Amino acid sequence: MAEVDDAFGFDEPIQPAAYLGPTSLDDALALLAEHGDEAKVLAGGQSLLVFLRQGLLAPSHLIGLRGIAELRRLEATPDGGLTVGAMVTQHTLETSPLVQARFPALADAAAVIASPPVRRQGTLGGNLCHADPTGDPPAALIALGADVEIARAGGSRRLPVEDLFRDYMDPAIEADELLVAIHVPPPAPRSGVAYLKYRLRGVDTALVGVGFGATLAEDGATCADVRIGLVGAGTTPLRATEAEAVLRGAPLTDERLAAAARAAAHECAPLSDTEASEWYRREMVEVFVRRAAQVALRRIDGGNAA
Amino acid sequence: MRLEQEFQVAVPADRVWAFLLDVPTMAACIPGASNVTQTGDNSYDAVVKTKIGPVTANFGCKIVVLDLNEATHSGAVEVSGRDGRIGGGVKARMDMTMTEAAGETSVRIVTDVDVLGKIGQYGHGMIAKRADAMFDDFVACARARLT
Repeated sequence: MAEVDDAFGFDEPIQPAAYLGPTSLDDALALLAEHGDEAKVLAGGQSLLVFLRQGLLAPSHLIGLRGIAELRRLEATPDGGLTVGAMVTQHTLETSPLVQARFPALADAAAVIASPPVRRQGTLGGNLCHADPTGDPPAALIALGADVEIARAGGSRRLPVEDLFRDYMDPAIEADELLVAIHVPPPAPRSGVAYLKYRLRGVDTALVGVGFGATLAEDGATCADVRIGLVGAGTTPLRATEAEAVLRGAPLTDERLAAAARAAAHECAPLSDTEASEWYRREMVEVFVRRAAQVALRRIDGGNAA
Repeated sequence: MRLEQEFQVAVPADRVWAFLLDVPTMAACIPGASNVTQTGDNSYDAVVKTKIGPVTANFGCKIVVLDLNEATHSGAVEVSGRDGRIGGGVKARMDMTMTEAAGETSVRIVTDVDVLGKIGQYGHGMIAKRADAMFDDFVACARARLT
């Protein structure tokens, strides 16, 4: 037992690290250019502090972002889209009238993360950079067609959120880069997006989570566009492109939706662990793609029923 | 946790056997392995570095080769590795068998692995996935050296 107790290491102190608190984005990027390889960026700390506490990470520097006001902006863009600064908390997203009214799938996802204290501290940017394959926001953001904006000293780039996830907890962000904002495009006419999560206990990460966004053609029945995001279904969040292909250009009948749900269950690659087997997760992907689709389609009429 | 893996390579079993028993050469094909030193007739030390997400582990490993049977081309390897800094380790026994047919050798490796301490929180699904990826890299490297 001695070895096991020792191995969990709960009595060890956190390794000391120099805390750097830039107050502007330019300063933060300069610090990353200087210390990026040995530093970790501290957003809300709800994932990083666990890793530090357990001694899994021992960075020389922590670059804290809470002093940078522009990373907290949450605003509608002139074309009706949404810009979310990386440091906007889950609580802010969950309770924002703007997000609830125009981007309810994002509020859905924020509202089911962990517990209220975690959502008060935890940020959307931090959640994405942690790249946990069972986090909730990635599936909603994939369904919403969001981009992430990644800056480094002297420039920035954007990429679709589904391309952010290289591998398990491994975001496509280099050591001198910072995820600064999430950009959600304006909702298309006749579109609806939803996020549904399946979990065993109230504060769990997703056993399976599905984001489903659909846009109808002018006939009000044909699927003009569709985006399906999955979490808990692989080593990274996934976009279910085969399931989307079943629906795109087709009438959104129950039979089609069932076929798409089966395709999603087939194309994903869930892990087996002590919470659930791969087989069970695939079954739940199928069920929750159908359910998320129903919620998203109800929202197309302008309703907000879940 | 039990892992079963298999690969084929288009050379006779004697060649594969010689390659796998030449531990320093073979270990060059193990992703992240370095500092392989022989410590006894059938024992070796090595360091294996692996990264899962943001966490990098450096396992100091003791390797013992045992139960070798050249006639049947079977054998076993026991590995125990520990990362002192992050606290955690692995213990594994790998049993290897080979069959040769038409000049092609099929190698089957059954591994019983225990993951100890904090590394274990990743869950066996993630660890099995990583082990499979490392095995695929190993096989690609071994094929390149053998053929």
